[in-house]
Amino acid sequence: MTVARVSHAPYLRPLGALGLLTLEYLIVTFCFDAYQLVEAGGELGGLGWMGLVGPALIAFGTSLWILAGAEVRRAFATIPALDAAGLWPRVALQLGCFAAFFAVTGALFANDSTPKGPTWVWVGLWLVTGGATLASLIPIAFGSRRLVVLVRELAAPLGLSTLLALLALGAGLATVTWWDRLNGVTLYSVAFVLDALVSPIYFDPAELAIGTPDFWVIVAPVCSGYEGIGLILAFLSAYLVAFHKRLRFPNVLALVPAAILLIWLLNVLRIVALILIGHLWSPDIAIGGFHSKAGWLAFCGVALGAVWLTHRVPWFAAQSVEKTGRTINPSAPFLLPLLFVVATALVTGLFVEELDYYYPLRVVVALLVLGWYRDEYLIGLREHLGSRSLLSWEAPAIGTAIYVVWIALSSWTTPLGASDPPEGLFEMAPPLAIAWIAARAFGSVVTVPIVEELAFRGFLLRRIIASDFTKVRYDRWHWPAVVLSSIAFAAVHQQWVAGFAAGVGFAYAQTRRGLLSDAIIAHVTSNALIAAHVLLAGAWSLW
Amino acid sequence: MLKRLILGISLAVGLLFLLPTPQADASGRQMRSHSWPRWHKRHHNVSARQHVGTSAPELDPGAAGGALILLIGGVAYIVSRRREEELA
Repeated sequence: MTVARVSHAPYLRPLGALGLLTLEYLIVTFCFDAYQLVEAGGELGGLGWMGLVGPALIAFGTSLWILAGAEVRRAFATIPALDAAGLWPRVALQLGCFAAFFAVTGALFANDSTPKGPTWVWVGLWLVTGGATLASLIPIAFGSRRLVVLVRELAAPLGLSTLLALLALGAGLATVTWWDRLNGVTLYSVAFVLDALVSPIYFDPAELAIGTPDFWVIVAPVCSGYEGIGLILAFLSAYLVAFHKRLRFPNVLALVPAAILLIWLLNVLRIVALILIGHLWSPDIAIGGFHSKAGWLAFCGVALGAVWLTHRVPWFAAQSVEKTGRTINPSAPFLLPLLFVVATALVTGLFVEELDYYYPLRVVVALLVLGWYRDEYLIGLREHLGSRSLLSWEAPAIGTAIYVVWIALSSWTTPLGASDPPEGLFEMAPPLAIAWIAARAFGSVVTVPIVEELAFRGFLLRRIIASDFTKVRYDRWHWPAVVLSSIAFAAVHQQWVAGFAAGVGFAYAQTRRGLLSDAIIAHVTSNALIAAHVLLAGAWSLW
Repeated sequence: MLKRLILGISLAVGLLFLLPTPQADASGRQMRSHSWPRWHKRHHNVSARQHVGTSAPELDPGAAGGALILLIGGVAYIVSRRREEELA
């Protein structure tokens, strides 16, 4: 059986170099904390500020993408392909440079004491190896001759992007000095709203403390709404760029300040609600699920609300929005089951501490949405199945292999033997505990595989291949689609590495015979084996 | 070009808002967001459970996966809506 792989050769070299740079950056930032050198002071103190290079490069890259995305893609499309014999020596050289850079960085950043020898020699070594690491990416990405041509072609956007990166870097540093001001406004706003709802309140502006005499919190500057403002600004900018052809400028720009104001107001209400929950109901729930998830729900609400407005309000749309005519949404049967389940989990997660008592609600919601679209699923299955059998030995075999890989990868971080059940499970009445376990097992083995495969393989993998995903056969794939859909799949699992590997495995199951049902069956198999492992061995940590 | 420039500035600045600067790191270590230094000791209903140093950011990275899937999936769903004749 052959599958239809889609080629994306023109961009592979620069994308591969970018991926390598990203990986190396993550390794360095994961292993070393640059700012400790600033805190320690001394001769190497200034080197600590080099930690800002990474954020500046990210700002540079995003600016370049916005200002000259089309030009960059055109220029990259002309880069000649490189065979393995030409590629691997260059990759080996680059990895060698990075290894040297990593070793020198370790000597400078990881130890409390200054390394032996003259400081200027170490700093010089660090700069040389760092520069060599970056420079050795050029032969991988373009080739040095091609680089000169690219710089000439893209001189204007490169210069402008550099300026923007410096501007953004300065703005990022400047915001730190504004934190106290915004924090004061946030603190007094919370006190104003809280005072209208409960009496007496406990308010100590000097200590940044606000609450009731029973339950109070300290609202530190970093909690004053900056994260939400930054995230909504970044999200809306990316959205406006990506969908600019559908939007009416400058009208849609009005959404940006409106969303910023709204997200800040919601942060004020979030802190008020948190205090009220801690005061009236449960301090543990207030600082547990509510504190963890309320900010995300507010952000998702504002962001999706803004997107929805741009598609429904004619004043924001580039083309007039017809009020007549039937509209359809081909993504709905694939996406809505997962979106409803995730939204239910986030909302119910607000009100739990340890054990998710409301898990059965997710199963009910999933069954309701799947039932709503059952005709579409059955028609699609019959179309793709044709004369073939629904069942094959390959899908359960792939599912079993994924189970083995999952257990092996999970064993790095999670004890696989008997472990304590979730706190609160066996404090419930026995019938309730049994019902909860049954619902958990049913969700894991039946609804979760269907819901996740519809979204990640049925929609996302094919949507990455082509904008009209309905025309992409289930046997088509390319590596970016498999990798990105697997990263998204991993994001909703606690075991990120195992989740990514499982995503790749389920994609293989789907593309092998060109049937989404094979991915679902593989997923059902692996989840059933994990559920059996949990229940038979008492390995609750796997759930 | 002006439209792209404005969007570029706001995206780049937005990203920088999110990235911890060294000073922000220092502030974060000294006083994390929403820290609970102690329960008010005069009140029995908060018991002896100590939450000293308990903290969580405004947007908890631990809950980010589901939220980002909801966000990206939600956008994909909204922008996929089409009139029937467009798909014909």
